[in-house]
Amino acid sequence: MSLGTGYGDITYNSRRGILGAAPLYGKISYHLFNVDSNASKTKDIVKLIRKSKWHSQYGKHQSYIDTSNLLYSLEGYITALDFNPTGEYVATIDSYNNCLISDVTTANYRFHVKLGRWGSSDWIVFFLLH
Amino acid sequence: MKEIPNTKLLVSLHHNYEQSANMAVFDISKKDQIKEIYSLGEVSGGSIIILLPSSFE
Repeated sequence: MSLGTGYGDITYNSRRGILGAAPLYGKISYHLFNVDSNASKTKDIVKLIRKSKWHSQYGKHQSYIDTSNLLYSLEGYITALDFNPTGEYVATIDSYNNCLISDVTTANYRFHVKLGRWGSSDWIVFFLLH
Repeated sequence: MKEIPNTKLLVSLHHNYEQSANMAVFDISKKDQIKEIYSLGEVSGGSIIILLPSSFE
């Protein structure tokens, strides 16, 4: 279940009680939190479990020159993330259309594909997650 | 601002992809007392650098 969209995405998996949010391009794929709304102490309700590592398969830094001859040096960003229904995997997509699947428990890379505007790649990701 | 399903918790995420992000979780179980129970703090990063042609002279 995805709770938010856009540049700052939030995703929550109720089965495992985990929340993913706030990627930091080049450093952190996403922050992983444990949510226990029944915890007796307030400080135990939300806990940061891990800053999930960045994967080299994401898009690289790009530069381009516009019509005014200005050189732009642009870092990308994660545009969305979502857990699969069991909370075992997380899918992230960056601003260069790289969709990357990683293991939530280990944070290890599993698969990535560069999505185009058309084609069947979307189905590959769909079947992997479900 | 989004609700975490089956809880009385709201997540607030302010994320400027060019600069920083900040996330906080609020307990809304008591109507007259909304309480911030967690704050990630500011996470900085990301940049768009514009170099003018004069930079190369």
